[in-house]
Amino acid sequence: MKHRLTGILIGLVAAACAAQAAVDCTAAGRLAIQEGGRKKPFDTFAREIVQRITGRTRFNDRDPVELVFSIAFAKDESEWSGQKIIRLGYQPFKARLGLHETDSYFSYRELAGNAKLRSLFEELGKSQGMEGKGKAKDPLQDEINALGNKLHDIESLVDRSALALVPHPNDPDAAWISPDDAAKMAGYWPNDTKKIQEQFQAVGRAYQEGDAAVLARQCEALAALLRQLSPKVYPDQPALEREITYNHLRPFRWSWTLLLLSLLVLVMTSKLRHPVFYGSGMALYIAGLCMLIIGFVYRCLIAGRPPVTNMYESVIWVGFGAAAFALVFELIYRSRYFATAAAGFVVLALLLADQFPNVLDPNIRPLTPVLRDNFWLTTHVLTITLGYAAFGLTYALGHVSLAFHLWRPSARPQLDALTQYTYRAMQVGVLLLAAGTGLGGLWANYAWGRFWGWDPKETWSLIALLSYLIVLHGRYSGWLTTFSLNVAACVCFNAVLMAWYGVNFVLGTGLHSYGFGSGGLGYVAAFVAADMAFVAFAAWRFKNAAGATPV
Amino acid sequence: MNGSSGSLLRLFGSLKTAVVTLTALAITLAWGTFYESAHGTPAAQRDIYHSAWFSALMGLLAINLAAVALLRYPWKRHQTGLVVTHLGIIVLLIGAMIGFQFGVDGHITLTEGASTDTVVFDQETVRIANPQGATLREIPLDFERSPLPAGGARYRLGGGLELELQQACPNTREMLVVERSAGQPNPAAHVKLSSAAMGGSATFDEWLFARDPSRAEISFGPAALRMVEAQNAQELAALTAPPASAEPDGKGVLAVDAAGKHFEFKLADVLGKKTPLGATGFTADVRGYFPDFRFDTETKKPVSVSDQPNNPAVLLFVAGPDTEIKFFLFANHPGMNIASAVRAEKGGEKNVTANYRFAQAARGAQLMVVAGPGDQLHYVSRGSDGRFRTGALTQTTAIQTGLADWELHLLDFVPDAKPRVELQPAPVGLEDAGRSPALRVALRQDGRVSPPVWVRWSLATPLTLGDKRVTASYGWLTQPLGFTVKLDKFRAKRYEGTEMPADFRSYITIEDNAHGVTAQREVWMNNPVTYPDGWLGVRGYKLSQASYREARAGEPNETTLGVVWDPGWPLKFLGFWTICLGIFIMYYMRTYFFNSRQPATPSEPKAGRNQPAGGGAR
Repeated sequence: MKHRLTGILIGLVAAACAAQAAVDCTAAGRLAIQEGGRKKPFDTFAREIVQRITGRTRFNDRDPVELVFSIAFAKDESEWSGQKIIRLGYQPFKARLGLHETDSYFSYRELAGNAKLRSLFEELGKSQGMEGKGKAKDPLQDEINALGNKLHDIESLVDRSALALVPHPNDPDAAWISPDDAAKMAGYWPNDTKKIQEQFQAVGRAYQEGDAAVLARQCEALAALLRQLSPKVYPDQPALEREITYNHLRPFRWSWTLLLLSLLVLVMTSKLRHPVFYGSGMALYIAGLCMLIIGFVYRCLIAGRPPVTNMYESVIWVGFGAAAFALVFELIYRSRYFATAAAGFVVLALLLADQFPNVLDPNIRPLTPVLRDNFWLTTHVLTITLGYAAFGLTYALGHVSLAFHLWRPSARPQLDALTQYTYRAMQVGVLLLAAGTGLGGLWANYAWGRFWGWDPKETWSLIALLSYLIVLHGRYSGWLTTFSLNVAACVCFNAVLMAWYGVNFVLGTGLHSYGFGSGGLGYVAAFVAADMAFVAFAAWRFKNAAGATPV
Repeated sequence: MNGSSGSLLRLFGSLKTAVVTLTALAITLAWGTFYESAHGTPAAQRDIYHSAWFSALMGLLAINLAAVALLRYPWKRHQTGLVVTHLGIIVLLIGAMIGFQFGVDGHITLTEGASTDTVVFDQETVRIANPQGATLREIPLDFERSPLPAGGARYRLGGGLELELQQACPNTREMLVVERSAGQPNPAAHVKLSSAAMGGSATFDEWLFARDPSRAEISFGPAALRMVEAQNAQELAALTAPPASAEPDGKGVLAVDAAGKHFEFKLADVLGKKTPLGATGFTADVRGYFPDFRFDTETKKPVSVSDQPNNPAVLLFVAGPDTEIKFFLFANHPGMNIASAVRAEKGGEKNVTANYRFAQAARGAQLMVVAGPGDQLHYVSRGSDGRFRTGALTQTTAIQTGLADWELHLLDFVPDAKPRVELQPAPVGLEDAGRSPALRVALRQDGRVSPPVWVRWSLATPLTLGDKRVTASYGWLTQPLGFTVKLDKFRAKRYEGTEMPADFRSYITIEDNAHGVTAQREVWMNNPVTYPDGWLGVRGYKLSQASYREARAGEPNETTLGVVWDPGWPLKFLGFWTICLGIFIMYYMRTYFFNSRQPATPSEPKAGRNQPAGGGAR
């Protein structure tokens, strides 16, 4: 109890110190840094490293640049080593280390000094040495690894080796170096080392003295000096500014907020006939879609490529596709159902992307060689994910339709219309998924001479296509009724989920390995289970109702 | 179309069959991906996608599709989309079948500067060729899919000759087998060194050969065990003598027998001098002393690698009236002493013998096994406690070496050993790289069987039965390309400041002598090279960048290129675009194709019910 109290006291003091030291570091964010295979603003670097350590881009509402500076330019060790900033959420791991299970954040001091952790690191090192191929992933091992990386991240800030702020004199592909790395500095800048180091130290001093104006001036002077020394390598200021704007704007957060508002307006005013309600709902919807497009354009410009190369980007692109298809349908049918269903689906997708950065990595990273500049590849990926988008819309419409069947079974015209809309969206999906899968074959044929190889990803996209074809053929044959078409629209989306998420995160084999990841399986499984329970419940209710009053 | 064939067609072309087939296919494929996740890609390809029943399922799908299209013949205008789509799928499936049957899907692996004219497939094979090099038979092997029967398998090679495949080992290792050679002296001892403190993993179990320098010594920890041979009691006495403390800086003792007289000198006294050997008329001239003798293979000259008497040797010339003999004498390896006449009357060198002893000999080897005269073994140990031990070494007693707690056991002693390397089956480890598979085969003809022979991976091995000779090669299946591919260089670019590969490419030269073509090309991800090109690439191999291995500095890089030829791809291409067109027509051109207002066909009774005539209608 006593220890705990002291702990709280230390924490309070630390928080007070941090609050006192909070300096406006906006200007420092505009410095350029090289990390992870590309040049980026310091602002982005700080967000990424803070997110890696704390699990969030803004930790305790502190500016990430300021947080990074507080570690890199700490006056003495106690300033950073006691800060509880390292996220550790995995309960069995905390139990192994003998840490409080209710805490989620720990300080460097208590982790690095933990004898049990050291022995776990040693064990991991040994088992990795012996590890054979195809060994099942152990979540504890992953967590130990991740924690090791977090500690290393902090160490690299403390010794400032991570601050690769100094470019090579003229080679744009060479590694940038930390101003503190005396040996490399002498190699890069035999005559200017002193000048650069003094300017860098001036930045640190300004931060330590807490004078925001001086800090801004010194940061600008450092950027100007480095730009002047290697003009060919240092990135353009507009490019850096653009990325900082994107970081601060958070267009996807705006987008889901607007779409959520639109969803609320459209649902709550569904019984009000006045066009102003429909109009305002649609205006919000279009505003949300516009923010989505703005975010997309920014990402394209920053990364210099179409942004559908990892799970995060594909989730956003699928959201965009569903929203855009629904808008087109809405313009044709003016029914409000398309916009409502799409808004629900897109809010869900964007929320996922926005709120789970540890599963869906939002950072812009360089591509594996196989994904680089290829026309067929880009066409294939964009088409097939648009197919997912259309099926996402189908799925959402299916749910709206089921909800109507459940709660307003007497509204016959709406039910028929909704079923037809579901059918329409499914058609778009079938065309795009068939085309996208085939385009994948064309790309494979172009790149390797193999059109089709039964790779799990392509097999699952074929399975998804087949499952919708089964539904369409069942519909032609008369086996599927209006109601069961809607059920099928909900159920078949699981095949899309499997092709989209499951192959990369569950199966984890095959040639599409550049998209592999981990995490979120429990949530996805729970969501699918709950959703299927709802569908089953709707089907059961509908069957009972049909038995009682023949349709 | 009538009678049973018509009803069969209707059955195959029915929507219900279609739904059943599609469902069966979807479930199979879904199961297949999980099977692949659990058992790996090769197993899934073998057991599912390339299996006969899977082909049958695809065939059923094709029949289904064809029946659907045929049943609706003559096709009506509003069925355009449906017919186009289904025909597109049939074309695609035919293309796939052609590719599967006739296509080539292999790879070539090259280091920089190397070239090849054959493509390699992931298919093991054993090839039997006659002495002229012509293939008699090429037998594909897949022991995972069809293991060798317990009694082996026989394959006809023509002319009544048969190859018997007796055993297939996924991994083998070479084992030393020591046999007696009936009198040819070559002492060998099978010894075991063990230490309780160091545990079982530190046990040494080895054959030592006194006359083979590469097999005479083993190192255990900081110490060494060496086997030496003593030709006579004199040598034995020298080797087993306790270290002479009187001779701390000594260089050993040189013994010369000339004209029936025995002379001994301290080497230090005679080194670099001409010393007359009494009244025999002979003179000993010690011209060189090598405390740590090595033969420098580059300069072809003897050198001493250190001042420590680890392997003392002397260069001695003994000159008589009509003779001059050059000796190279080794204190640790008297069996290797060399005597050669520089100038001699016939047989003159036999009158003179010389020996070199070093009481401190084998300071590097704290432990020695001495094969003495009369096939007796002795041991000599200079323990870390400073104690000197020596005595007879027999199989019945273990010797405390005095070096930590190491114990020496004699397991076997063969005075006339004939070592032989034999291949034995070995367990397959986790690492695939060092694997050495082999087949045990024999030739058979008219009831006669040749002795079995191991045919090792990629090592052509001759087989003989009577006057029949063939060569067996065990390796990957290959096929000539018809041209040569040379890897000029391989380069991998990194993303700035990281080790992440951004782009890796192979710079190759294609040499096609038959057509007089020499072309330099670059192959990198998504940018394959097709050769021969032309004909829309239908006849050419596609060479694509598959994988690579970057070597350490100074060594050549290695690249692997996929080599694929798919004659079915134009049909797949055509089929694919036809399908897309068909779906588009079905869904979005209904207005155009329905403007004749045909009644809906019976097979799609409800299709039109919920649909307006066109996408644009409201």
